[in-house]
Amino acid sequence: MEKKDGQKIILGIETSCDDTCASVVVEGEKVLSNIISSQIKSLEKYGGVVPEVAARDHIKIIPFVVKEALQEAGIKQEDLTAIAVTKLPGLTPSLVVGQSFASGLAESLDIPLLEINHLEAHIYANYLTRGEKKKIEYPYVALLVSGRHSELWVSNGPRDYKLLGRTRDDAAGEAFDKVARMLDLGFPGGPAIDKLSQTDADPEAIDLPRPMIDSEDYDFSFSGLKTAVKAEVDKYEKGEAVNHPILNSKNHDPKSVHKDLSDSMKEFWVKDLAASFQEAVVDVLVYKTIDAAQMLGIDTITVGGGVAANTRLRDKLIREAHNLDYDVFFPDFEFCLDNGAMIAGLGYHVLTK
Amino acid sequence: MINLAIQTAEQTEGFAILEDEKVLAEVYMEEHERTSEALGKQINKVFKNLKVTPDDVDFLTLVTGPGSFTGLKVGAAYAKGFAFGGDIKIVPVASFEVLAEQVEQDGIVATCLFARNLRAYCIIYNKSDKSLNILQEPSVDTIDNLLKDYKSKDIIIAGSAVTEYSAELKELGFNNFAKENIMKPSSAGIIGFRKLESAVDAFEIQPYYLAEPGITLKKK
Repeated sequence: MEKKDGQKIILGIETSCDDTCASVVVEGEKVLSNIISSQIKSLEKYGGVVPEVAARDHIKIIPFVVKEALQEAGIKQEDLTAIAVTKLPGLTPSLVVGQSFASGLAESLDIPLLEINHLEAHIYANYLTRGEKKKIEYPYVALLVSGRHSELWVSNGPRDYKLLGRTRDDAAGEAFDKVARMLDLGFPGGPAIDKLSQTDADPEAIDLPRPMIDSEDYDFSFSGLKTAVKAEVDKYEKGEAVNHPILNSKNHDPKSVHKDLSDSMKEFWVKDLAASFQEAVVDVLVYKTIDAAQMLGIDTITVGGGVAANTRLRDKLIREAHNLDYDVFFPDFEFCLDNGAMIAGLGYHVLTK
Repeated sequence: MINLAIQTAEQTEGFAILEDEKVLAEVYMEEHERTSEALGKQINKVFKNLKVTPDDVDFLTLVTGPGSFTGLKVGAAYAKGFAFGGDIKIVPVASFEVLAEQVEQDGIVATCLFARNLRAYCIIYNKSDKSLNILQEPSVDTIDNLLKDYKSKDIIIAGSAVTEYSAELKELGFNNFAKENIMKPSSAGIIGFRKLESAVDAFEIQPYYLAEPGITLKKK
């Protein structure tokens, strides 16, 4: 890429959890490269992220990821205006790898180092584009949902946020991971459950709670929902009657539906349980987000974080919001999960503020 | 040649800037400072004071470990970033070598660094005329197990285990300890200059953990 005079080109580095990410973004929005090296394979055997293992992987591959990001962007190191890096929140052993690498690189290139808040960057990800510039009007209600966070914010202007509510226990993405583990669906749980739910699964087959959906605040709670799924799994494992309209109908002897379930019947039950769980999570997220927008008289909603990639959440929130004539923005799929582009993009605003 | 030597394997972490074997500056982090935040800022400050630019740095020396897991990653990641940006190389130096280098006399030297769970990282050298021959391979274990074959021998013990396990060492009959048990970044830098031919690039250099994360051991 040919550098135009005064154009700010920022390298973003993100290592707050298990993905090693680097990206080059021009003028805060135009993404030239977005490299994400996932550790899913090496972490699969642990059923989740192990901070020390993740950090050791980051340090092995970070120079390769940064090199690839620069190459794909067609940018030379000397063309960079600044380096942006995730400061907080995240896993400390992982964070320090990105921060220290970025610090050394910024020092050697004699350019500014910008420290970025990971949560604000996820909300900002809606502005990132590979094509046309996005126009998002202030104020907006921002739903931030990931493996570590479930929060509602209101933004009244650039870098101006007020927290409305957050989860009191598990994050939505964390609940997805834990339920997927209970059902032997692998790690990470969100995509596995989403994929399964897109088959012929019935999201209303199993009646699960919608925790705090009617609470008078904007907080969330997903621990009880996870426990409700666990209770179903326990019933199945003990050979007790499971909560399912078909498997537990008169045509089936409740005592014979579990131990004697054929593989295909078990698969059928698992699919319905996963889809029902997802539906319960999505219902709570959609209802509370719409409610917040209505209460505040705001007609624009944005969503950020890994769970923003969930297809059911996207479909349902867009449908419900459009019924009210609200605008809804989701980041492109590649900018939902942890990525360096959101760090570089927000870095531009930190640099120019 | 200008050499930036980094030691974050153990407290007190710090760095030194050397010209060949001459120390131009040596800085230690304050205990309350987070090294991941302070290291870069302090290096920048010292460069300015010395009127050295990052472009003037010819190579880095990194104490690769063993030591604090987080500390090792901070130093290694900073060195990788700096070397990547400047397209220069890094000389890896083990914590054991730095501690042994700091022992003034020849003889059998056990360099022992504090590790968690009442353990230590240890190697035993025969030090003779500045050369080090390994008598016992590096390992991590209780101080008793690590030194069991050397109980009645004339041995010098160096490293943070000397202060951390002072009572245990005396109880085991060891009483010949090194004067300098903190790893000096400048000592690492001098070793780095002497070992320049073993320098590697930012892609190759890795921390030397010696111990695996607890969960990995359990899963195996």
